[in-house]
Amino acid sequence: MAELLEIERVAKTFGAVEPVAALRSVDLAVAKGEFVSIVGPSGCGKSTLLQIIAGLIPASAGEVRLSGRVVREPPEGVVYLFQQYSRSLFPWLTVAENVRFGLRHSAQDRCRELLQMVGLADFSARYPWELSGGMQQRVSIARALAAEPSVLLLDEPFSSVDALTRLELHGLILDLWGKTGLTILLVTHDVEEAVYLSDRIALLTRRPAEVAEVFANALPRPRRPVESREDARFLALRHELLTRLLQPA
Amino acid sequence: MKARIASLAPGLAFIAFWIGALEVAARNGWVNRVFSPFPSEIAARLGGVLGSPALLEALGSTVGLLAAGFGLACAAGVLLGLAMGYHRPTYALLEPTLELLRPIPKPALLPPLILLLGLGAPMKVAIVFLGAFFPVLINTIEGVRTVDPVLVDVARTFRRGKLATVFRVILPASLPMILAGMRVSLGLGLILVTLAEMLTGTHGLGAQLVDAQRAFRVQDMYAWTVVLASLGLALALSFDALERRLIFWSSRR
Repeated sequence: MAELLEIERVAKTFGAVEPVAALRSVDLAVAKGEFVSIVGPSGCGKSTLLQIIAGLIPASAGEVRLSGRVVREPPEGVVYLFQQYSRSLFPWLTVAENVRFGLRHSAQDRCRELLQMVGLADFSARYPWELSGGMQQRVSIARALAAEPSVLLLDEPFSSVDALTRLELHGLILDLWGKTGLTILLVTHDVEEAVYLSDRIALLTRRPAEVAEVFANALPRPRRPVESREDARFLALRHELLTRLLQPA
Repeated sequence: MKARIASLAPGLAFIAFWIGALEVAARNGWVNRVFSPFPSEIAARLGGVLGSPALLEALGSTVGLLAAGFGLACAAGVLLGLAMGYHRPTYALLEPTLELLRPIPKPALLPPLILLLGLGAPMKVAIVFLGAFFPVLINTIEGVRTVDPVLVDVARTFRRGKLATVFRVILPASLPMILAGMRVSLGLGLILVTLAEMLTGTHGLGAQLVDAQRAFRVQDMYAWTVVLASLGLALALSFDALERRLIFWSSRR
């Protein structure tokens, strides 16, 4: 498989006077169509890494390549989905108008189709602040898909919704991933979420972060919200990851 | 609606009380009968003012000058504010000049403006513009600076250009701050247009006010004051309504 996304010795240091190293040197490659999760202790720089991959902030050293091209600005075909859905949606635009912001051409039909895909067809004329947290995150997912990305970068997108809504959103994301052939890179602190969703899981060390190990996930697809979580392979990988994460520094 | 009336009632009753007190004081000669406001007399004169062609002429003149100066100030303040808030070098270039001009009490600019532009409409529009410009500019800069960076990053990840980012994301996101500045500017504009009219004494509500005072038509003077107060109130209420329409979303997010 050709590597779509290559992260090579990416380092990030914040501040010039008293520099704080967030990322020491991160290497990771993601193939087209893969679903890869990045987990690590809180504050290890997971989100920073994802923002560098998105071209939103520059790396201090090393480089990110998308289809062989070095990423310096937000590249075409990559969309970053923000953790804070309530801050990332435009409150002065309706749900449909928010989705249309993602479209490259104002295609009315496409907008309706996307809202149907995320189950919000009846809410197109509402404003984001009239919807629940889970629904708002669906809107931002629809908006992200509107840009027809080949890579979707998810920054803890399910962390601020309740547990049941989170399971629903997992189902939605897997469904969309299966239908579109997207490549997804997910940053999360939720080990179960990572194991349930991904093909591979990159475990980061404490700050300044490096990739400690990349785990292949043997859990068969399609994933089922209840049964997959009781599968011995799910439990074994969860056990391994949690143990590693909880190891004292 | 009922609750609104109930909450207004004590305040309205208080107004009725002190107007009544003024009336009693004036009738009994407890205050100077010639110079003090005499409510029933003011009401009678107001009737005359409201029916006269002078009202429309004065109101049209004052509102027209105010609208021109305020409109230009809003347009210029928002455009320059967007540029200064978004583009550091522009801010660095203009900020010292701005800080030098801003603290000048704007009425102090009337004498030079009269010399430069004369006593006509251009001078009055200019003074309203100068007074209204700075609050809009300052608030726009501040509004742009305090836009949630997440919204700007959303525009970046969707690869929107700079112009689209400024006008589709930053401008609407700063609108609550910008409108707060415009509200201040509108009040300042009304003050300055009235003052300019009083100084030149040719057209407008300010001129009517001074004319009445100089001719010792004291109760007429008060009647024109009531007209000015009503104009101020009407402008403030219209602005409230506009604001509710434009930033209906800002208190709900």
